[in-house]
Amino acid sequence: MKPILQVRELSKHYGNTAAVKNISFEIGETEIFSLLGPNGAGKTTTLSMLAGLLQPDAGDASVGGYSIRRQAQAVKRLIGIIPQDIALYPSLSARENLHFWGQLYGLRKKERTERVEEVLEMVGLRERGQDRIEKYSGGMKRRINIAAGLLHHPKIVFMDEPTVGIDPQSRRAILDMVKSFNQRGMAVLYTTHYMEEAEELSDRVGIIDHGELIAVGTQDELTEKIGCTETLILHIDECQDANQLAQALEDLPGVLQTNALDHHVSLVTRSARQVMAKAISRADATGTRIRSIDIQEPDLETVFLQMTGRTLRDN
Amino acid sequence: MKFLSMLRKELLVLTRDRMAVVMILIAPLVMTTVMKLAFGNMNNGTDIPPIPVAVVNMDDGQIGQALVDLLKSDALDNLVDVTEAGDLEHAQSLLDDRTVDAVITTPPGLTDAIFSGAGSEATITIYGDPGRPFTAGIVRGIVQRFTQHVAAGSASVKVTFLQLIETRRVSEVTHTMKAELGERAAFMALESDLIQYNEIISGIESVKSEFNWFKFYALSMASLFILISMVTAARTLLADHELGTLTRMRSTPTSLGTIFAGKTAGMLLVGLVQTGVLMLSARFFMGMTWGDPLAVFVLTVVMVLSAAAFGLAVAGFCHSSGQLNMVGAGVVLVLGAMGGNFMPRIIYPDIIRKISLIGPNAWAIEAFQKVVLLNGNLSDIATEILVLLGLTGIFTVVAFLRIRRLVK
Repeated sequence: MKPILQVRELSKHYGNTAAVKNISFEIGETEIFSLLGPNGAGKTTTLSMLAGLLQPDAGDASVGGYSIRRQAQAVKRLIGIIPQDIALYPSLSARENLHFWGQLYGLRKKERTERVEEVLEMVGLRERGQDRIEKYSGGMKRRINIAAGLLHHPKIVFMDEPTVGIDPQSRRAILDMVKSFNQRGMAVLYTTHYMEEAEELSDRVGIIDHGELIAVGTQDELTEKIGCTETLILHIDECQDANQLAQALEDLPGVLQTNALDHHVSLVTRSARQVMAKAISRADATGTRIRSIDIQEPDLETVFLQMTGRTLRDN
Repeated sequence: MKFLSMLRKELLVLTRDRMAVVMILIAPLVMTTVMKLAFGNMNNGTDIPPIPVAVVNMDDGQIGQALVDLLKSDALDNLVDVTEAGDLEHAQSLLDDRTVDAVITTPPGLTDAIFSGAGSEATITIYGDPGRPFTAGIVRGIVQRFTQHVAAGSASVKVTFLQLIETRRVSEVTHTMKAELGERAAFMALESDLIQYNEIISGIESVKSEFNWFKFYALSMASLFILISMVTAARTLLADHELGTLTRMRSTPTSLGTIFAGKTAGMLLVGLVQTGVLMLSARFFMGMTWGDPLAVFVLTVVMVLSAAAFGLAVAGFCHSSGQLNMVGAGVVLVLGAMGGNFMPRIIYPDIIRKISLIGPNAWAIEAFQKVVLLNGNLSDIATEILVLLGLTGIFTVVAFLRIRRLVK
């Protein structure tokens, strides 16, 4: 697939802190690519550089063949930005907002009017288009926020954690929208720290942590990279110490990695079934009562855990 | 055109804000009404009877006599009513019992001192009634202009002779203000190096007939009002930053320059509407005349533009609209006090007067006074216009650089 976005050794520092370190990846013309990483991993900084809002310290990227360093205006015509926070004028109606953003993308009146109605339809708010944004619910605002980034039919849409802090229904609507405009031929660069969103949406995933792109590939490719593993999850009582249990289990044969979370301990293993009996016995010996047990097939969370030693929620 | 889109959006957002609309349309009306109620019936120059003045001419030369002749001339007949007193003691008794509003004394040997080049030692003294600062100020203006033109007409004599000393200066503010206005009027009337009494007189008379408190404060308050309004309006820039819409604008193929120009144009338009409302309400409800329309129009545009650029520059140093409210209020109050919005600049020490020139309001007041109070035209305020444009340029560059930092 021909790439619409090519990122080459992009870096950004804030003072002595490296926010993004030498990252490189490509996104195909009709691909959904997710940057998966915890908060502070460098996702938004990466997106800001690609959108021409931040100047990289090193490296370059091109969108549709245009360099973000030298041809920023041309790049901006090809990309659609959907910021994490609502970036609309509350006192203007949805239509007025959309017309304004359409004007800034250089759309002429007739075309603009058509596009405004088209995106309102796409986000399911055509009937409410004349209402002021301040009268919308949080989820509706998010949908208009998305619509504003699609008016000019961008080749690639940058979405920065668009589902943070919204209700499940609106989240579902947004994920469906992402699929819908991808089906219309737009590539998507989607940043998230929700593993399940990356799994559901993405053709490929880039795992980013501490500014470094640790791995890139399809979900299958990534799970293959960490080998054939299963995660055994031991749920314990709230009053018991997960850290103590994790320490007690880390030297069990077949356990590759242990991780203590709120009220459970996860063990990355070659075979969860082979380890299970020994783990229960060791837990008994330490006086820890196990309430239930899950076995999890390898997923992106596992990949992240194994590659970084932390979970996506640790940060 | 994106610039027009920006402008349209600015106005649309503004008109949705009821408080902002009130500020733009109602506040100028309220302000002019309050000023009229406060000052409208005070000291309208046309109501003033001739000012009773006692002159003690102890000079036995031409200069002292010329001053007496000027004061007693027919042209000043309806402005001053002169009594020649034999000595200072008599004159002061007239002042004490309020028979006269001011006493002018010329020292013995004034003419000789001037022509011998010892002018710095010659002193004409004015004793004013502290209860009547307005009239004493006019007398001071007449004498000051007279002495300056004696100096100008006697260039070969190496004269720096005038030192005015006023006693009982209780109302220094109003007193010095009138003197300045009297001087300016005379200066504008006189183009010749020779002493031309008639022109001096007509200049001073024009001040007398035109001056009133309402006009003076209308000008001062109008320029202050616009400055406050523009600093407040610059809040929209920071509001855009807080809303995330500034960042979103930058993610579109729109230059920061266009965004900045759109903001400035919106503010300019708002400022012009406000000034227009203020001027028209003062004109039609209060009967105030604004002088040469071309000069007033150009000056208004330039003043609002410089105030808008100033507001954006102040905003550029703030991190939030809340901070701008605090910082802006402080900056405007200081500039207003120094720049002559609350009291004439001439009463301040020289250093403060010089510092006050960094603010657009000082220049705007200066220019408005020339146009409105002294019937000046566009060429009379060319310096002020150029300076205001220069300040606009400086403020714009500062604002742009600061805003570029803000969005990074």
